[in-house]
Amino acid sequence: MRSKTKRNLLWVSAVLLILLGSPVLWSGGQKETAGKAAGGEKKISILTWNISFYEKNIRGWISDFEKDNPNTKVEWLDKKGSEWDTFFQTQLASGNAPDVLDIQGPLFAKYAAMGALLEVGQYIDKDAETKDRYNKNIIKSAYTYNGKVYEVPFYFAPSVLYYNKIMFKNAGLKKIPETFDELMNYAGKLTKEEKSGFLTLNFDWYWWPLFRCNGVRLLTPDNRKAAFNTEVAVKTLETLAEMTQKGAIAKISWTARWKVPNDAFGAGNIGMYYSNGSAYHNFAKSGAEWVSPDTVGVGSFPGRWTLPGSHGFAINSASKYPEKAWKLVKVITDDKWSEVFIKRTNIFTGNNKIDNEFLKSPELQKDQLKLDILKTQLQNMDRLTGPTIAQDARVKDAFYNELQKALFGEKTAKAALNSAEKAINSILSE
Amino acid sequence: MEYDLPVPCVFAVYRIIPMFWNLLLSFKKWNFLSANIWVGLKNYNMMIKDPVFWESFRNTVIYFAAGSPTAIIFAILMALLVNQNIRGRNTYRSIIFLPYPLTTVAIGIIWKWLYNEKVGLINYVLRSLGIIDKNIPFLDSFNWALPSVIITSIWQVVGFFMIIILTGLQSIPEQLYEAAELDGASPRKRFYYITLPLLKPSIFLCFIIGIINSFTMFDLVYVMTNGGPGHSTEILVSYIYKNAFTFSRIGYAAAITVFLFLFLLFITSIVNKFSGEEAGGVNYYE
Repeated sequence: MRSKTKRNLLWVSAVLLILLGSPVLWSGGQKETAGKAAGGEKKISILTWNISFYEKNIRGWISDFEKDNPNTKVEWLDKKGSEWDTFFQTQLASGNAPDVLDIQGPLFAKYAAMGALLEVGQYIDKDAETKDRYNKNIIKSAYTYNGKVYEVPFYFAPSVLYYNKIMFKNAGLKKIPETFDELMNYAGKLTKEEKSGFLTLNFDWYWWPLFRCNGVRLLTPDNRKAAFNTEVAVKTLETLAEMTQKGAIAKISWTARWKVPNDAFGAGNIGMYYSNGSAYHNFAKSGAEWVSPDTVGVGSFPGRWTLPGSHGFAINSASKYPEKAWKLVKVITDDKWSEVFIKRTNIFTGNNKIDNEFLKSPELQKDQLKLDILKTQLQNMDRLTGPTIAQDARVKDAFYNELQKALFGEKTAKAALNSAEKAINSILSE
Repeated sequence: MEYDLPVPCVFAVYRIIPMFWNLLLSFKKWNFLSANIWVGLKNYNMMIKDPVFWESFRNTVIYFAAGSPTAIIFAILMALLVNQNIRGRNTYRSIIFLPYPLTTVAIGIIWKWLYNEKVGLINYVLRSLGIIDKNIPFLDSFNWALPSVIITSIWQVVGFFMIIILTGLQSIPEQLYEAAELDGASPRKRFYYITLPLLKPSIFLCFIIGIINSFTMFDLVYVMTNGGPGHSTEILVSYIYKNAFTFSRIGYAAAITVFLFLFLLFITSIVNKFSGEEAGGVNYYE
């Protein structure tokens, strides 16, 4: 009986030890790892967004940084887009979030509103090296929340309208559409059997320019109320639903995310594809030998409306070494690494000097299609659209689900927009 | 018996404490970073008024009500077939069981391609047989998406259920059938009066596993439809995940979790009642 009590006490002690020790093991212990490495070395970490293919160069960033900062080690983590947000939030909760963060699109606004990000505008302006480094237009449009800059550009690929020149020729179309009505008219003409006239991406508000080009605004200027529920929006949605039912707009526009639309355009079955500026590298890769400057064209979406397609670097407000984190950001976005990035990916970096030099580079002049894609992106920098609000994910979810119901004939356009308006106003009033 | 204390300790660490922590969170507003604020019943009020919550709940009930009984019926039929003295029956058993050990994510991806509207095998077969003249957008349709995901989950679990039922079938004494046959009982009567009653524990076990599967099939939904189109395949667990990790509404997600817990408790008590109120009971003296 005595030995049983002893044994039980031993077990209780062990469980209590685990319980009490777990915060140290899970949080404090790792904080030690993230904060200070062995031998008094400092340690910072960087979390990137699905760019493991870029590992060699990331190691290069780290190596350059560590050369200049011999007492600081950098730990690199990369997560897929679907895991990034969950991973970061659990790290935030455990008090062990990475110091430097590569964040996609307007997601940073949620974290800025939560107080999880440092305002990096102060660093940019104070630092002579970075004061004029970044493209001010893109900083203002894609990396600013409530008048404060929370990110520096890593890369951005504003959306463009790709079109299949072969299908255009067969349908007797000679120029790209300039209005919504023309876009829909072309989509109808390009649709035959298995071929669809138009395809759009649907995540991160890529579908929003379809409304914006008709003058519809998403929210009131103070971002406190929905402003989209208008007669024009109802008419637009009715047209989109009708064209989707007819197959003139490919159904995958409203259901698939990234790979499937790229593969569909790469297969030569889509007349016009409204997508991220970097999509070219994906649809040209998917076994599409036919893709060439003679067969694929690029232009602006009606009204020149575009989504930034941006990724930026932010600094965790709880970072123990924000100065070191800023130094790492500076290394990654310096001329050397920006040049490596744009040459490897053909995507703008936001580093003014390097982006402009690349546009003039002889190698790019030889590739007319790539040059056209990049030039089109720059032409529309004054027409960036899509909200930068803290409740972005919820607002998007509320709107998009109602939109889908109208597009697939589950609801009338009017009813869907009414429901979306009600839901969004409720979210914004919380 | 000597090591009876560690078990409740471990159970407390991994079950009881998180459960109470979740209950506490359901009365708070928290987003992982901010100080959590006591909001009383606000999360529950929002839940009652949230149409997406009700849609997710409805879908969860449909998953449960349609998925488990169908899988059990198919499992009984297949178990009866492979219990016959036929050539290669072990091969058939293995083939039917094969989907169960596969990871759910892999199953989701495979079926996503099978269901594909343009290049999917199912549409191809249906068209070739002349059953349909226009391809069905299985996962992209508000009407088809939910049944399509349920069919996939049935396919995954039916082999496992079949093995459980087969074990039950093989433990039924042969002499019962012989006696019934001598008394002139038809095969149908033998099935209803001998097989089915004696399979009750196996069917009950399948039912319990089915309940657990229907309420935790997050991975299949996430991979195949992510709850869409609209919220037509959203179930409570996927909606909890979205609220917690996409919308950073931990308190609200906790409130839905409490609801799910109470609903599961209710279902379990009903099932327990139907099984003679001895579910999970162990008689040491038998």
